[in-house]
Amino acid sequence: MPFKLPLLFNPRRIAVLLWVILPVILATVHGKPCLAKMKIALICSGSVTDGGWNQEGRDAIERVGKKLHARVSVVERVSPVWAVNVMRDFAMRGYQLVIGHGYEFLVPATQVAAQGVKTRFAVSGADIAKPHIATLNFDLTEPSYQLGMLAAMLSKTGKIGFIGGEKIPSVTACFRGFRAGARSVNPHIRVAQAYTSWDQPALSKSQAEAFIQQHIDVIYQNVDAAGKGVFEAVAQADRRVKKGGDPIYVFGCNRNQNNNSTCSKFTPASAVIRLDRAFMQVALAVKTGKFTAGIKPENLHNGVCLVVLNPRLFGSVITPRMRSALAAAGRRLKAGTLSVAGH
Amino acid sequence: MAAGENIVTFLAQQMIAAAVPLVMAGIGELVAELAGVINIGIEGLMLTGCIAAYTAASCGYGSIGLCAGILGAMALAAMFATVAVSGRADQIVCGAAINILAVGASGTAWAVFQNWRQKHDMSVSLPHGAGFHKWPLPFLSRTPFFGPALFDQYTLCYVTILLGILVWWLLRYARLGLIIRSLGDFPEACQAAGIRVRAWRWGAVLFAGGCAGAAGAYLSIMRTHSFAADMTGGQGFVVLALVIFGRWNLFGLTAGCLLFGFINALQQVLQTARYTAHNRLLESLQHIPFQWFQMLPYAAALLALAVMAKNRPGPRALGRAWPPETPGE
Repeated sequence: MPFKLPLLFNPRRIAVLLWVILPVILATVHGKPCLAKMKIALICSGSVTDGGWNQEGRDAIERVGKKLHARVSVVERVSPVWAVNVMRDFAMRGYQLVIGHGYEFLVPATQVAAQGVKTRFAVSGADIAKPHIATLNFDLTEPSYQLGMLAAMLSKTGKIGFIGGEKIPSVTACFRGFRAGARSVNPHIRVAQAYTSWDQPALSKSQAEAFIQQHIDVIYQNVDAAGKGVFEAVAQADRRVKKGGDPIYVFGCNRNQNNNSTCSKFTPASAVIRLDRAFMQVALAVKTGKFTAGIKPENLHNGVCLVVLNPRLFGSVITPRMRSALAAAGRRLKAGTLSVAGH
Repeated sequence: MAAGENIVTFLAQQMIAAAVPLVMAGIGELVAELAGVINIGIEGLMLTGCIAAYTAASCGYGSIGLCAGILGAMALAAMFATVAVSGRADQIVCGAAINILAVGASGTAWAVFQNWRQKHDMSVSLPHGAGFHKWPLPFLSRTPFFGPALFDQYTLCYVTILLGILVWWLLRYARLGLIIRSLGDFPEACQAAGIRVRAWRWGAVLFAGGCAGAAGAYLSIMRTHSFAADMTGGQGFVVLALVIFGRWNLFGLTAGCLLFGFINALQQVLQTARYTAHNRLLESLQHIPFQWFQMLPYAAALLALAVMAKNRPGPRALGRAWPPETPGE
């Protein structure tokens, strides 16, 4: 009579049991968060190496992921047409939060959210309320107002300029604030505006050179990756300025560009969006079940948008009088006693 | 660029600065098309030149970057030639594939490069001295008006002028030029004369790749000292259009590129002056949307070239694979 293994020691049964039990054991060994790990996706329309808006978004969401021990996925170069598929895919894969990084993702996010998925959607850089969507309305108007004041105080020619990547609301808000701030200091100041591209440094450089040729001596740029072209133009112009001559200055935007390697000596300030802070607030709201749809104003008042001065230029370029004027304006803007719209 | 520089000098300088990459890439594309190969992947080749030059120049030497830009684009051109010339595949489809490949590959290479540099605590910017600066020629660059425009430019500008003269002479007077033109007009005759059509076309495609790579390097390590994904911004397609609308003539191509550069500089000055100048006429331009200004160089270049030489035919065998398909195939 052949020897029979007891029922429990049958190799096939052991194998089946292992397949069932092993994942549970592994999940337990690696800790409970492995099962309950939050999943966040960020969708960008451009390259995450653009040195501006998209790169800052990627860096910010990774910082949030580290703090919350969340799994973060970043998808770049997604057109609004494809965004619906990408967002639906993330929703089907159980992501709790999907952030469309740019106003162009507002419509796709609304379409996917309307399909009754459990995933929460946020769109950054938009200013319109849509059902089921948290709209992060970054408003750089007030920091740009402060930059305008600084530009007017720095300008010797009474001509300053703004270069934007595209004429969209978030960019024109920067120009409006910049112009209003400059005119609050010098009502007769001339403020030029031009729009080039987000990713063509050569085009932005030639536009900046046209500004400089027309005696503009302070340039505020919001062109992301193409900003390197503007920095290069300013650096080149400043190399040609004779000793004792009036230099050309440039301001950064979206992220702190004061330490750019091209012309940090001539970059007195940047208007900065602290994306990590805004993303963290939304992620925490999702995690704690307190997520609400609607417009979330992210501005000078809650500290997400602000002006960062270049401390290396304190004294030499940015005088104590300028700093106190900017600080006073900041206080008045926060208190609501000063309104950019009023200018 | 100095503040308040003479407007004529400024416009001439900007015109040449903008035209250099177009003419350089255009010379290569012209030779390839005269040899019967149309490579619409020139945009991708330029982009490859940009990223290859920038990453290689990060070692501290601009000349290494320039060589890498040329070689990188030539490698991609070799891929194109393998499929389109040796493999006799459709040249338009292959060119489109090269563009798509270059956009993805350059973006990925840039991300990998950035991550690697950051991991080793190194800046992604070019080290001091790695990028090319303008090289003003002594005495000549001080000539009033056009001196700074012509003789205070980047090295590649002078190289482009010399290359243009050389290619023009070769195409017009040398046996080499006759062979190249015959490859595009009557490859059967070349075959009968013992000229290896595919091998010569390979050479033309590689030359075009090298020129496009140099044009890309100009954008990244000379003009801007930076790289951005898609930084060529459609200039390769502009070159393609200018070669065709210039009716496969070096002068037509150069004139188109210069006109494009001039109108572009002019529209940028106008966009600025309408806000800064104390002039009612210019101030009245503030109501015109900026897109109208940006459209001007494209519209003017195409219009002028279309009017200038609309009846000159292109190479007869342009875009046709060699050897031609036989009925039994």
